[in-house]
Amino acid sequence: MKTRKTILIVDDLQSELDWMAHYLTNAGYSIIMAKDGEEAIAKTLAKKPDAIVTDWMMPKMGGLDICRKLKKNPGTAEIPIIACTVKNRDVDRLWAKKQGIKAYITKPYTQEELVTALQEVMG
Amino acid sequence: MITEQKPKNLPSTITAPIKPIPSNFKKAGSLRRRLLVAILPTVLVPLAISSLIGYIMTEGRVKNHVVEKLESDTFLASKIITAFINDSFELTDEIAANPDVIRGMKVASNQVQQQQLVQQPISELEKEFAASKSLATDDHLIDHLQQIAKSDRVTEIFLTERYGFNFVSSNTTSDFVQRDEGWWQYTQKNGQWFDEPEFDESVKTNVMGFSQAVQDPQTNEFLGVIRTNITLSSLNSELVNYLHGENAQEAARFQIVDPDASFVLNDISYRDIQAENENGQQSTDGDEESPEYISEDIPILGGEPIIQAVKTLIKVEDNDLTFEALEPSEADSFLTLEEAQQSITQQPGFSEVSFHQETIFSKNFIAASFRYRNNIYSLVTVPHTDIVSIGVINYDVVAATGRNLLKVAALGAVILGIIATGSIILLAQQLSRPLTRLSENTQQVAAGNLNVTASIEGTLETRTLADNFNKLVNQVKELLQKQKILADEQRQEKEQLEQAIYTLIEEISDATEGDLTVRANLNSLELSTVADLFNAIIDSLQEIAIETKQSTRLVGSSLKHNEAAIRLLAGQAMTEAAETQNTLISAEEMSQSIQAVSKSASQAEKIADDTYNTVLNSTKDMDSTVNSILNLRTTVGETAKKMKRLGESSQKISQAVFFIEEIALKTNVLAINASVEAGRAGEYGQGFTIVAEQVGALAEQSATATKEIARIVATIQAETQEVSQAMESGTTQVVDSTRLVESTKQSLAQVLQKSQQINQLMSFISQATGSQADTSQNVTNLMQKIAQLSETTAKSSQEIAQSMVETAQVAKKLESAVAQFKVAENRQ
Repeated sequence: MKTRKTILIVDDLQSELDWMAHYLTNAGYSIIMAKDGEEAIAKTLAKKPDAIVTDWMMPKMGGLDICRKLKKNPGTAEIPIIACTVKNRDVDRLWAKKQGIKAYITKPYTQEELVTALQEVMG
Repeated sequence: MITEQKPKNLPSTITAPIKPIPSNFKKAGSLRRRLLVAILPTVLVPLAISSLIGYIMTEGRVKNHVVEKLESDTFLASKIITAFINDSFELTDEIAANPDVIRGMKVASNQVQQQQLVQQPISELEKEFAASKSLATDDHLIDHLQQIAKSDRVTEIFLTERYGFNFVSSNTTSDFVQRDEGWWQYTQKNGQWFDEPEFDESVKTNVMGFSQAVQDPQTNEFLGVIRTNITLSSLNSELVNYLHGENAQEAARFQIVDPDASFVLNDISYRDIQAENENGQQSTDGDEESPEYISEDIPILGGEPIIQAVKTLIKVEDNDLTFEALEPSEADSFLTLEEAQQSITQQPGFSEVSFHQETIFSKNFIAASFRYRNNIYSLVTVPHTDIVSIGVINYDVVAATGRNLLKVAALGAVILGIIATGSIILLAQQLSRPLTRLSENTQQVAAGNLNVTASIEGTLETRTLADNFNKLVNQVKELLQKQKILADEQRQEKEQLEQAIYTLIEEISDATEGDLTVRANLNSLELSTVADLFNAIIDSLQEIAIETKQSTRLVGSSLKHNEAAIRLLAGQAMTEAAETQNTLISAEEMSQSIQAVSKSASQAEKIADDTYNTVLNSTKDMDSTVNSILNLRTTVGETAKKMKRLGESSQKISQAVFFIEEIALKTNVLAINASVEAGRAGEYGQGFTIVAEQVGALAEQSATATKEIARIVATIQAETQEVSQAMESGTTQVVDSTRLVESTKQSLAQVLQKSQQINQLMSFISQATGSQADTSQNVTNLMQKIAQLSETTAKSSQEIAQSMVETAQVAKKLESAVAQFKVAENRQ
């Protein structure tokens, strides 16, 4: 039995990363951080996190780009990905779900929302 | 970058010009007009109708009123007469109650009994009392009576005692003995009586006599009779006074009649009443100017039919009819009220008949009213008398009253209508003014001026309407303000969105040229989903392009590598096909020659067979020829023998013929002899001569035939000789031939043997060549199939070679097409 679940969190803003890291540490998760899509993919391949929480709107590679890339790789396809974004319309949620996002939380969010979503996607 | 733009089409206050009211609205008409149009008829029409109905009803009522007035006046006249009669009897009652009168009567009766006046004849008594016309002179009583007689009404009073003798009087009476007078007798019998009115010469006026019996108050014994004569002038005055009430009808005329006498007691018309009034005013001294009313000359109004009606009316049963009308003959013919009514209704020319009875102080007044010719009549009886009051009024007068009423009613209706119209116009004005103003305000608001405030006035509804209108306008103002803010926000959002779209287009437009390295930025909140969608598509496209590039490259190189080999293969296949074709031709030719050999062998076999058969047949023929020759030898021998015998037979025939020749000669001689002999016999031998001649002919013929036969026999003998010689030589030849045939037969047997051997050989050859031909055919067929196959192979390998060339071309094209896509360098 694994002692602590590892979560990869991706955001282009350091402040957001800090917030999320704070929440997740509180909730007892171990954290890996990435500041863009390339780094996120590299760290995913290297460390195989239990779940990924990613921002959507990032320069170069967005959250959904990361999701699509990881889904194509059989080694990473099963890792659940949560979108955490300010986008809050039905059409956004629909598109995200189509692209393989397992859960969707909108900024600003509470620790409880984040943790609930994580627990849900990790079963 | 978002450029801030000022709103263009939203002015702070909307001030459009006020539009005039649309023409089709004007057709609808203003409220005031509508109110007037709607209400005026609803008021005026009912007013007119009610006026009309009122007029009609009132007219009827007025007419009825006139008739009723006539009836009541007539009734009044009857009542006045009744009162007059009662008053008159009150006077007599008063006198009768006087003790002096009772005592005087008793005294007078005692005097009559003492003087035994009753037994004396009346004429003598009249003479005896001619001076005083009275029994005694009681001065005290005379004074009393004269005092009473001084009144206007009473002209004369006198008293009789129980035997009908005057004993006191106010004036000098005409007779002393009254016992024989009708009125006296009736009074004695009935207690009261009054006479029909008559003109009294002494007082020069109409008078009525009233009589009353006097009874002893204690014993009720008949004591005597009081008689008063009362002028009718007082009655006339009363009638005139009463009938000239305030409501007197100008056209009405009244008559008081006694039908028995066709007597008009009184006749009062309005003019008379007027005259009476004037007279009363002018001559206050009571000067005798009163008109002489009672006259036989005055006709009863309406003439005979009315008299009949009056007579009918007084016949109505009256229990108490005590006065002068009571005559025995008439007493039987009383009518009930219904009978009388029926009788009057049936009178010709009478209409609108009404009948009623009224009882006042136990006196029955019978009243009848009807229309006859152009008049309305009202008849009322005077109870206990046969006097009837008649009221008459001309129907035209009644109708005229109605017409007058019409004028009044019309005028009233017109005035009412004008008042109603005026007040309605005023009301409409008041009601519509606030609405009109409000309507104008609404128009201004509709035109865009929202600074309008409606003044609150008029009725509760219009006030509420105006208040709500103001609230509505305020709400609209607020709404417009909100709308404007909202519109500004929306516009800004729209501009941001547009800007984001521009940016997106800018970022991704290179993709249309095949650049798959472009990426849409995700920094717009609104469009990042679309941008992401686009990125996803571009990624997929890029992957496809890369794979395509690699594939085409691979196809191109592999095609180049294999092309030469394929071409060689195709060439070889074609050569092979050509060679196979040649082999096939040779095989076919060989097969054909084998077949020809086989055919020839078969023919040779047949010929050999035929030869063998022919030889076989020849051997048989040879055998039969030998036999025939042998048979011929025998036959020739026998024939030679028979020829010898034939020679011998011919010689015998020649001897026979000689004999026959001799016979024929002799027969001929005989026949000549016979004919000579017959000639001699004469006639009888003639037949026989013919026969002899015939026989002679026959003999001659026989001789000829015999000669012929001899010649034939000679011929036969010669020929037989020749045949015998030929036979001799034939026999020799047959023997030679037999020898030849025998040798030929032996040769043939050898030929047959050889032929048989040839036949067998030929059969073998034929069989062998036949199987060879079959095999050769099979070989040919096989070769044909091989040739077809190799041809197909050649064709296919040619096509394959062609396809390879085309594929190479396509691969080249594809490569150049994919080369247009620009993909990330590191991913290729």
